[in-house]
Amino acid sequence: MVKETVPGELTRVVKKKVEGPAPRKEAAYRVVYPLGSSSVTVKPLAPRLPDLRGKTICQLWNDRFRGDITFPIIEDLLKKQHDTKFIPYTELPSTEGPDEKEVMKTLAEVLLEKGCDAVISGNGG
Amino acid sequence: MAGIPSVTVVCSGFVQLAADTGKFRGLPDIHVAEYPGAIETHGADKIRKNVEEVLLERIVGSLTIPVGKSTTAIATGEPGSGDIIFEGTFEEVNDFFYRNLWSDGLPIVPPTLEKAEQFLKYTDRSPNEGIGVFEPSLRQATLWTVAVNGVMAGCRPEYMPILAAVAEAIADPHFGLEHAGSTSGWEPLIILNGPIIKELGFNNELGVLRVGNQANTSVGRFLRLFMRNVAGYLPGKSDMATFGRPFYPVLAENEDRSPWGPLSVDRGFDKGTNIVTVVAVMHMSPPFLTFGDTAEDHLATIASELATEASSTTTWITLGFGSEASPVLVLTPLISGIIARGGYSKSDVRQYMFKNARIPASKADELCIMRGKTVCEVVEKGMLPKSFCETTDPNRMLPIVHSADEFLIVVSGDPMRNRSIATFQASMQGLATSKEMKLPPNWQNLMAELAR
Repeated sequence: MVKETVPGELTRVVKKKVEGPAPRKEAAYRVVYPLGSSSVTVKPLAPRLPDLRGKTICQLWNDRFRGDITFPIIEDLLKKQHDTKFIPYTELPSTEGPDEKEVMKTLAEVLLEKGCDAVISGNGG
Repeated sequence: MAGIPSVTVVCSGFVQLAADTGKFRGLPDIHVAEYPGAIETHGADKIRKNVEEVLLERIVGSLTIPVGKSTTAIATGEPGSGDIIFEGTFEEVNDFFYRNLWSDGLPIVPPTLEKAEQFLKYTDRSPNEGIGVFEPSLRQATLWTVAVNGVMAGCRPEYMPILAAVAEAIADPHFGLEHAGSTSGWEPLIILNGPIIKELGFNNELGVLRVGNQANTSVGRFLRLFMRNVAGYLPGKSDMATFGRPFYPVLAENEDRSPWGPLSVDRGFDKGTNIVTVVAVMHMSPPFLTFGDTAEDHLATIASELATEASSTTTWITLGFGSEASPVLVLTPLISGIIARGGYSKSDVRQYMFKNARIPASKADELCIMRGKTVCEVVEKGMLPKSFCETTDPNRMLPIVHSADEFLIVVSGDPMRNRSIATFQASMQGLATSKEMKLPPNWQNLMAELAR
C-alpha cells in the first residue's frame, strides 16, 4: 500500500504493485547485559524482641524531617506504655553529614557499647 | 552488623526507597515504619497525632513481630558480561530493554558483542578491569560494562577513555554518588579538558549545553544511562527526584580562547592532560548579563548574581551542611577576556567572589532555620567554619562558600556573548571529582585512522 497525493485532492491510500526485489528481512540483534555484576550477599535481620518492656532503645537521627519532634513523642509514649529506657539521639552521632561515612564505620560498636536493645532510626523523607 | 533489631522511620513515598536500600545492602526484609504524609508540612499537633495513632504501632510491630524467612529474592545467577540475553529486531530489543528498565525512554543502540568490542579498541586496559562498585545497587562495573552502556547511549567507540574516566569519577567516594537519589533531583555535569576536546569534535562554544553535537550529547546521555543501569537509580525506587531534569551534554572548556589556564590545572593536573570533572548541578542560574568595559563592571554583577542565586532555601541551607562546596562559574571567552585584561587572574576572581558574593547573616539564618538551626548553631556543630559566627550581628555579610578555592571557573559558551552562568551542588552531594583519562599508547595512530 502506498500513499498517493494528487494536487488539489486529499492524499489517498492506494494499492500499487511494488517493483523490484523482495524487501530484506530486518536484522536481528544479539545483545548483551548492560548491568554490572551484583556484589550483594544476603544477611539475616537481627531477631526481634519478644516485647519492649524495660528495654533500652537508642535513637539515631539524621538531623532531618522533624526528628527533634517525633523522637521525644515516641520516647514519651513508649516509656508510659512499655517502661522503656532511651539513649537519646543527642548522645549518638548524627547519621547524615560530612562525617557520615566515618560514623557508619563505628556505629555498630557504639550501639553495643551504649547497651541498645533496639534502635529507632529516622527520619527519611 | 551489631545484631540489634532496628526500625527505620520514613515519610510516605519513601517506603520503596527504604526497601530497595535495604535490598542493596543485603537486607531484603529491612523493617520500615511509615510516617503518614509529608512531615515537613505538618504542624506540631498533627505530628503528635500521627505518631500516637499511626507511627507508634508500626514501630512497636517492627521491633517485636518475629522475622520470617526472607520472601524477597536478591538477584542470583545473573548473566555474565558477554552472555547474549536477547535476540530481536531493533524495535524488539528496544521494547525488551525498556520493559526491563534498562533504557532511558529514548531508543538505545542495541549493545551487540561486536559493537562493544569496537569500544575496547580505544583502550589498552582489560575489559574485565573493575571500575568500581556503585551506590546504591552495589553493582560492580568493569570496562566492558562501560563499553556496553556507551554503545547504548549512541557514543562513538573513540569516546571510550572519556566514558571510563566519567565512571571512575562517580565511583570515587568523594563524589557522593550515594546521594544521587535525593529529592532535589540533581543531575551530574561533566566538564571536559584537554586535547581530546578537539580530537573528538566536542563543542565548546555557542550552545555548548544544547543537545545536537554527538560527542557532547551522547557522553552526557551515557552518564545518566550508567547511573540507571549500573548504580540502580530508577525513579520511584532509588531515585526520589521530585521533578528531576534531563541529562546535561558535556561542558567542554574553550582552552584556546581562555585568558587563563584550564580548569584541569586548577584541579592539580598538568596543562594538556585530558581530564573529566564531574560535579552535581542542583541549581543552575539563568545566563546572567553583565555590561561595561572594565573588569570591575562585570565582577560586581557576577558577585551580586551569585549571591542572589545562593540565597534560595535549598542552595544556602544545604550549602551550610557540608564540609565543602563545588559551585561552578562558567564565563564566556568575551567576559573572561575583559576580566583578565583588568589584571585579574583566576585566583583573583575566586577571591573577589569570596569577598563580594555574600548574603546578610539574617537571610542565612532565615534559610538555615528551616532546618531548625541558626548559622551560629551550625558553626557550633562544626559544620561551618568559625568565621561564619565571629559575631551574632544579623547584618554581617557571609560568604556563599567555605573558602575561595571552592569556586570552579570554566571558560566556555558563545565566545562573543556577555553572559555567564553558575551552578551549585548541595552539601556533600556530587562534589567536583576529577579523573585523568587513560589513553592507549597507539592513541595518535587511532586518531590518524579516524581522520582518514
